[in-house]
Amino acid sequence: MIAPRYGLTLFITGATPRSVRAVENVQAFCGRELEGDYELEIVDLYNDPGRAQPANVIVAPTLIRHEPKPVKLLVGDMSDAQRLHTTIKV
Amino acid sequence: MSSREHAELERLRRQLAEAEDALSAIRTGEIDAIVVQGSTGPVVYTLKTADTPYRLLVEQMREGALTVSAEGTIIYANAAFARMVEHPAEQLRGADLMEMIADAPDRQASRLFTGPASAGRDIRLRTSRGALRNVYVSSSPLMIDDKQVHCVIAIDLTRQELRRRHEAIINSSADAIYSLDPNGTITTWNQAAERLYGYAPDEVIGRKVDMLFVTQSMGSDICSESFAQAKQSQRETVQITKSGKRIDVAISVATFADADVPEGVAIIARDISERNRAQDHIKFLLRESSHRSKNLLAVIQVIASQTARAADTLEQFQSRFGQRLRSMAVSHDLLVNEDWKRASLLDLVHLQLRPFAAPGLQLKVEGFVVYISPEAAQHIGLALHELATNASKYGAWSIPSGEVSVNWKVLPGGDLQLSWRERNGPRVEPPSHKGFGSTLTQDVIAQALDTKVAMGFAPDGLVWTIEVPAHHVETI
Repeated sequence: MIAPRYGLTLFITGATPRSVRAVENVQAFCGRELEGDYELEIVDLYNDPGRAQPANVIVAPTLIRHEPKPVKLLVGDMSDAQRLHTTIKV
Repeated sequence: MSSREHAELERLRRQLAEAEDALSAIRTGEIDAIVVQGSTGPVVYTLKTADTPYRLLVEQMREGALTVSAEGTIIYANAAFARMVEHPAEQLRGADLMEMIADAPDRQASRLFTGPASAGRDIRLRTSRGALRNVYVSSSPLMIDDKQVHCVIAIDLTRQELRRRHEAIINSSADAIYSLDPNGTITTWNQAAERLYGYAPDEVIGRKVDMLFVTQSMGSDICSESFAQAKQSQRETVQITKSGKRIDVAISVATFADADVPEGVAIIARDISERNRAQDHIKFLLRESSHRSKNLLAVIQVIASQTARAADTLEQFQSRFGQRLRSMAVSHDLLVNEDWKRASLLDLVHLQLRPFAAPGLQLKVEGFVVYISPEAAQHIGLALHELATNASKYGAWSIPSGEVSVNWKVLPGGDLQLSWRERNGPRVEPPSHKGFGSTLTQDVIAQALDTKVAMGFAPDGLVWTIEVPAHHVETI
C-alpha cells in the first residue's frame, strides 16, 4: 500500500470555538483540494498534551504538514483558504 | 555561500516565519490555547479558562455528548459517546455521524444536525465491532461564533433498560433487599423490605441500619465485617419491625462494587419466623405422635383382652374387635384432620353412626356446632359405637318402629350435656350382667373424662347421658 502524499496533523483543544472551526476548515480543504490522497490526524491536546512538545506545538489550533518534506506549520482557525493552500500545497 | 549554508539559512528563515506566525496568531487572538512545559509535564492553558468546569462536566458525564457540523461531521465527542460506539475518542473527531447510525440513510436521523431542536428519539448506533446499540438522542442547534453546529446528547438505552429491569427484579422479589453505604446507612429499600419491616423508603433511607436490629450496633458490625472480608456471608438473627415486633430472619450480606471500587453492602433478608414455627410444630407433632401411639396401643390392648373375654368364638372376637378398631380409626381420622387439636361433635356422631345406616333407620341429631378435645372425642367415639351396636342388636334399631335421637347442649357452667335416647323399640330390661360395652360406655369414659355418666333403662327405651366437663369443650 502506498502512503498518501500528504501527512497532516491538526492540534486542537476540545470543542473550543477556533478548534471547532479549524477542524471544519481543514476537513473542507482536504476534501476540496487533496483528492483523497492524504492522512489527517486530529490530536486533542486536552486528552493528549504530551503530543505537543515533540511536534514543536505551543499553541492550538496548529496544523502541521509532516509529509511531504519540508515540515510546515500553520497556526489559527485555518479560515484563510489561500494561506492553507500555500502552506500545504506549495 | 555554499549550498549547505544556503539550505540552513532557508530552514532558519522558515522557522522564523513560523514563529512570527504563531506570535501574530496569539496577538490577533486566532488561537484558543497554548501548551507550556510545566514541572510535571505539558500543560494546556485555554485562553478562556472560565469554560473549564463545563468542559470537564461534558467530558465526564455518563451520557454521550457531541457537537456535529451541518454536514454530520463529528467536531467533538466526549468519552461516554466513544464508549457507546466503541471507537477511540481521538478517532471520532472528523468522523461522519451518519455512518454510525444503523438506520441510515434516514432523513429523520439527519435532522439531528440540520433541523431545529429535537425532543428526542430512539436510534440504533452501530459500534466499531458491528454491534447495535439502542440509544435515545436529542439535539439542539448551537451557534459557535458565527457558525451553526448541533449539540447532540445520546443516552445508552441498553444501560437504562438493564437498570430498569434490575430495579423491576429487585422490586418484585419476595425477599427484602436493601443496601447500605460503607458507614451502615441505608441507601435503597425494596417493596418486600417495606412489607417485612413496615417502614416506607423515606422512613429508613439515610438512617443507620442498626435500627432494624435488636442488638445495638449489630447492623454496623455486619456491614463493616462484610467490607473487611469482601465476601458473601449468611446468618440467622432477630430483627425488629416498625411496630416493635421481633422477627426471625435469615440474612445474606455481600459487598457490591462499581468498577472494582467497593460501593456498599447489599442485604437480602427473609422472614423465617414461619419456618421456625413450622419446625417447632413438627417437633411437637413427633413428640405427640409418640405419646399418642403409646396410649393408643394401651387402649387397643384393653379392648382386645376385654373383647376376647366376652367372645364365645374366635369369629365373634374377630368381628367385634374389628368393629371396635374401625370405630377408633374414625375418631382418629377426624382428629388428624384438625391437627389433633379438637373434633367437631356433629362430625363425630355422623361418622361413628354411618356404618349402622340402613333404609328406614330412624335417627335424629340435634345440637349446636361444638368442638370437643381429642381425649373426649376418642372416648365418646367408642361409646357411640357401643351404643349403636347395642341398639342394632337389642334396642331401638332392632325393629323398624324404633328410633334414636342424639342431642346435646351446653349447660350454664360450660359443661356439655350429650344424650343418647332410644324410643319405640322393644321393651327394655336392665341387663343381667355388665358386658364390656357397658364398661366402656360408663366406667371407662367416666374415669377418663372425670365426669358423670347416667344409663337409664326406661321401658320405652335406653337413655344414656354424659356431662362433658367444660375444659374438653370449645364453642364458637
